[in-house]
Parts: sequence; structure tokens; C-alpha cells
Amino acid sequence: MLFDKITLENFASYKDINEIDLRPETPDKPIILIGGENGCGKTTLLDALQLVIFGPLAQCSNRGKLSYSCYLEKCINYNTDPEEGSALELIFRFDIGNTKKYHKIRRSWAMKKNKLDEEFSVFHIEDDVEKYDKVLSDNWLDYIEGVFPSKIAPFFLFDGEKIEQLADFEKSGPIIRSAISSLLGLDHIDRLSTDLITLEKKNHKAVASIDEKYSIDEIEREIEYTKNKIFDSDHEIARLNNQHDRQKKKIEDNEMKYRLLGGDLYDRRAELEARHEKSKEALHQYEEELRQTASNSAPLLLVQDLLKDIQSDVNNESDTLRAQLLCESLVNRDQCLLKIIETLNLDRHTSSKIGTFLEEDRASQSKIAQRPLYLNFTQESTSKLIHLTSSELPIISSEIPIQIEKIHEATEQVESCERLLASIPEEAALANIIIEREKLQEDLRRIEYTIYAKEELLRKIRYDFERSNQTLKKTLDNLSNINLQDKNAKRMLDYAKKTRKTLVSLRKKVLESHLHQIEDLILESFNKLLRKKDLIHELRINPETFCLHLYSAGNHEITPERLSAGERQLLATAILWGICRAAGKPLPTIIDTPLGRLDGSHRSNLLTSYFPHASHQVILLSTDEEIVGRHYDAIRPFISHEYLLTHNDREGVTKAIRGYFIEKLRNVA
Amino acid sequence: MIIENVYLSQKAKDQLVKLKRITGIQHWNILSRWGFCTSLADPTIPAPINLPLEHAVEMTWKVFGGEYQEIYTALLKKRCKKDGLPLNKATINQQFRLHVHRGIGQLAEKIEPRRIEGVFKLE
Repeated sequence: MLFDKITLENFASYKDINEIDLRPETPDKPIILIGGENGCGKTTLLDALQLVIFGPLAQCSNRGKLSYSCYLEKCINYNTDPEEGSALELIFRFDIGNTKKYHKIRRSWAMKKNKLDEEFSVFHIEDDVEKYDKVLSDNWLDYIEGVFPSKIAPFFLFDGEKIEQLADFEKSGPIIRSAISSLLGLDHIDRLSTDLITLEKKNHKAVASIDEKYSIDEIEREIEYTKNKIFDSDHEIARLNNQHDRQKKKIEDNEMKYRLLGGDLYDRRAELEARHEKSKEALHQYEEELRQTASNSAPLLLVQDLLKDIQSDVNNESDTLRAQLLCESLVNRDQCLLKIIETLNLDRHTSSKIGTFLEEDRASQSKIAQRPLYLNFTQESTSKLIHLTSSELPIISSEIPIQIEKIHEATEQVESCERLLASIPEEAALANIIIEREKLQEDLRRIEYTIYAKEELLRKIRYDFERSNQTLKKTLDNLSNINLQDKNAKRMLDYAKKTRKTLVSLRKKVLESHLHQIEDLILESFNKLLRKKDLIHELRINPETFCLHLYSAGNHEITPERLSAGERQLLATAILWGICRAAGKPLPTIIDTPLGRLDGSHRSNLLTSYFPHASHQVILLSTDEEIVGRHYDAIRPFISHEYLLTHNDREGVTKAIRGYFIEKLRNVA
Repeated sequence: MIIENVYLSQKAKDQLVKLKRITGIQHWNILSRWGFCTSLADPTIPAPINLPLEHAVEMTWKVFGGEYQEIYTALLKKRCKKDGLPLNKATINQQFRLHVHRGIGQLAEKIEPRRIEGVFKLE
């Protein structure tokens, strides 16, 4: 990996835009020297590099316990409007396999309505054209982890403080462990082990609960028991049904007894009495009708012959009366006729014949006229008589038999009602039967209720029986499943354990084989840096604690106190160098105040042995008291170009300009 | 009018009471008619007994005869004639009294069944 250029916009003390070119001009001049007095922004530059690449994962120096958003907010230059915000850009390149990658990444943030808004973009650069890549922008951390792992970044971008930490042998263990674990991918192995433990725990639980198996015998016994209960219940119900039938028969007998004693009539008394009343009423009505008929002309039915005689007598008497009238007028008329005949001058014979005839006629009429009258009927009476004999009496005569028939029928009705009423028994006679009937019916109800209850129970038992059968079936199925699950779980446990064992031994072997390499590299680096070349013969890193142990030629352990402060610092540097070399990744090295705590001769060793060879790109951030004078001269051949970070105290602003202290001093001078 | 009033004896009255009970016919004139016709239906001449002179029951001929009073008169006359009796007022009156008393008695005695329909079964 190679950093091309970093751009800071309004970041911390760097107001406006500051571009720093980081690319070495030629491969044999890998060093880019950046000078700056204390507090002017050197450390800030280091932070900026980490921040732009790793974002929230960056271990920046003055972040402390601040949240990422708060930290970003703090990093906005205080002369800048927070709404405008800050930005960091980095152009860099690296190889993945045979592919060359050339990226620009830009991280910018600003306060929008008191909330921090951060943006991050990744661009491909091809033929001077920047192409935004959304996928990389969204998945940057995963992507860069494969190239520049965040856990080993601190070994490539470090400062004096880190060296201090490593120099303290007691405190260095965890740091070294972290680095080596990352380096060797041991953290992955550890995570896998932890996951396997979780899996083992899970399967242990599963196996344990499987042990609570159902007893098939128990269920089968229950089924048998229920079957018997069903059988008994059926019998019981059949018996009760028989009892029910017998009881019904008893009730029937009782009813028959009741009927025989006239009980049904007793029950119908009111009805019968009503019927009696009604039929009496009908009879009465018909009798009244007949009485009505008897009250008119009916008595005369007895004397119809006499009436007939009277009728003819009346006819005769009317003839007599007519004859009487006739006689009178005949006398007159005959006299007139005779007078006329006389005038006619008829012969004596004829006239006497006429006269005789008239006389005889008058005589016969007279005879009739002289019949005695005794009835002397008026016209009115005559017509009354005629009406009576021809119309009224015949009508009545025909009606009477009908009316009498009606009366007979009605009488029969009344009589049959009376017979029935007479046969109604006394309540006392029926009392016993009624009591018996009630008791029998109550018993019947009780039996019916019992039957109902038993049937309900039977229903429930059958249901349980069904359920038991189902449970048995399910259990048998389960059992075969359980056996399978059991085997599966056991297998899982087995394999998990084996895998863990394998992982443990893998870890050990990885450590073993690589740790040697790392130990060698560190020792080699140390010896390159030390003045006392044969001080340390062997260097061991404890695979458990990752503590360093040094041994002299005679295999005596050299305790940390035996080393001077400077030597310890060199050792720390050697550790860093060794680990970087062990990583086998061509990553740039950036060191802040590289020479800080070292004394003169140690410094020269670093300058000549370490810095030019640390990496293909070495960025040194130096104060005005470190890499100056002869130290500067020592590494001058390896410097590609220089920057100076100037700080304007009045404005509180840092600016990066080309050049270095010496030139500045020269200019001042 | 040949007959002005109808006078019935105590005996006849008792019989009428009986008939009233038996037939349910409330009016004595109607029952008397039935009695009279019953006697007319009997072809024998009523025995010339001496009827008591009391007037236990009294009614006019109009009441007795009702709508058909002249028919009843005619029947009496015709019967007297048939029986060969002289048609004078005394005879007719006497014959009427004999017939009506005889008839009521016969009716009271012989009415069968002893209900209203009994009167229709006298032929």
C-alpha cells in the first residue's frame, strides 16, 4: 500500500485546505520528513490518516472516551462554521493479487441543525478519472480490513507513547498478543472456538431433555384400563336401558288400570259436562221449535177429515147463496123474456115449452136456494180454510217428523252424556292409582337422568381413549425421532469437541511456527539497532502471556532491569519492526516523534538502520529537536521531500508548507 | 156468536196444569185447542155427563180459537150435524163443553210420550 496524498479541510488546527504529498519520488528515497513544533499538529496528522481510513474504528490520540460523533464535532476547526464542517481526503494505491487498485477516499462531516452528518465516499481512479463506487463506499470497513487490518494498524502508525508501552515488558504482553493474534489470524480461530463452545452448550441441553422419555408401557396400560372402563360403561348403560323399558311397561299398566277405573273419563269431566250442557241446550231448542209448531194450526191436524167435509159444505153453501141471488134476478129476467116472447107471437107450443123450461130452471135453482145454511162462511174465512188445508197443514205435517227426529237425536246425545257422566269415578277411587303413577314417572325420570349422565361419561371416556391412542402413536413416532435427534446431538457434541481440540492444536502450531519467525525477526531487528551486538542471544515470546524473555549467550535470562531505558526503547522499536516484517504486508510506516526518548547513539542507529528500511514508504513526523543537524544529515540521502507544519499562534492555525526546519532557519538567518 | 165464553172445570184445570208440565206449552188456550181436536177426532158422541158449574178456567171464544176461531166454530157445528144433533145454541154450547172436557181428559191421560212430541202422536 502506498499513500499518494492527504488533504485536510478545516480539520483540527488546519484551517482551509492543506494538501500533503506523501509519495516518495524514487524507490530508494522512501522517507517523507514532516517537521513541526510541539503542539502544531503533528499528532493531528497521524490521527487524520487513521480517521480517514478507519473512521469509527480509528484509535485516535485525543479521542479518549468520546463518542465518534462528538469526536468528529470536536475535530472541526474552531474558526470554521460548524455547518460547513471538515473533510479529509486520501489518495492511495495497493495491490490485491495481480490487480492494482488506485482509490481516493473522502470523509466529510458537518453539523446540520445540531446533529452531526457524516459522509464517506470511495472513488476508483482510472486514467485520471475518478469514479464513485457505491458498493465500496457502503462496505469500506470490510473491504479495507482485508488490505490494512485495523488491529495491526497501530504497529504501522505509531508514536513515542506506543514505544513507551512496548518498552514496559510487563505491560507489553497484551499489546503484543493483540498484534500477533491479528497478524496470524488467531483472533478468527478464537472466535470459532467460542462459537463451538456455545454450540456444545446448546446440544448438551438438548441431549439432557431427551433423556426424559415417555414410558410406552405406561401409556399402553392406560389404554387397556380405558378400554375396560368403556366396556363396563356400555354394559351399565344397556342394563339401565332395560330398566327404563321395564319402567315404561309399568307405567303403561298403571295407565290401563286408570282407564279401566274410568280415569280418562275423570280427566275429561269438565269436557263431558260441557258436552252435556250443550246437548241439553240443543234438545231444549228443538223442543221449543216443536212447541212453536204446536202452538199454531197444528191441533187441526187431528181433524183433517172434518175439515174436508167442512170444505165441501162451504162450497155447497156458496152455491146456495149464488142460487139465492140468481133466483131473484131470474124471476125478473124470465118475466121480461116472457113479455118479449109474447110480443114475438110464437106458437103456444114453443112459448109454453120456453115457459116450462124457464119455470123448471127457476125451480131447480130455487131448490138449491132453499137448502139450509149453517156455516155461513165469509169470503175471508173461506180463503183461510183453503189456505189451511192446501198449504199450511201439509207443510206443518212434513216438518213435524223432521223436528221430532232432531229431538230424538238430541235426546240420545243428552242420554249418552249422562251415561258417561254417571260412570265418572270418584276421586278417591283413583287416588291410589294417581299416586302410583306419579311415583312411577318420577322413577322413570330418575332412570333417564342416570342414563344421560352415564352416556355423557362414556362419551368422555371414549374421547380419552382416542386421545390415549393418539398419544401412543405420537410417542412411538417421537421415540424414533428422539433416537435420531439424540444421535444428531451426540454427533454434534462429538464433532464440536473434536473441532475445538483441532483448533487448539492449530492455534498452538500456528503460534509455534510463526512465533519462532517473529522472535527471530524481532531479535534480528534488535541486534541491528543495538550497539552491544552480542547482548542478546535469544528472544522468546511466551505463547500464553506473550511476554518477552531475553536470554544471553549462556542461556541466562536477562531481566528488563538489566537494560537501559534507551535499550528498552530500542527493543520496543525492534518489536514493532519485527512485527511489521512478520506481517509480510507492504504497508507504509508512519512514526510520530521517532527519536523522542532516545539518547544520541541510539538515535543514530535508528536513523541509519531502521528508518530507511522500515518500509517502502516511511513518513516521519519530527519536532525541531529531533531530526535536525547531524541526525538530519544521516538520513538525508533517503529523504524524498519535506514538509513543515507552521502554526500561527495568533490565529491558532496550522499550515503545511514545503520545506523543513533547516530551510526555515536558514531563511530566518 | 154461537159460543161467547169457554168455561172449564177444576178437574179440567188440573189436567191442563198437568199437560202444561208435560208438553211445556205455556198457554191454556192452545192446550184447550188440542183437547178439543182430540175429542173431535174421537168418532163417538161424548157422554152427556153433568159438568160441574164452576168456572175454574175462563176464556173468551176469541182467545180460545185465536186465528182460526171461525174454523173451530165450523168444526163444532159440522160435528153436531154429523152426530145428528139439532144445531141450536144450547146444544152447540153443551156439545162444545162436553168435547173440550173429554178431549183435555183424553189428552192428559193418553199423551205418549209424555213430552211435547206426544201431542203429535195422537193420530
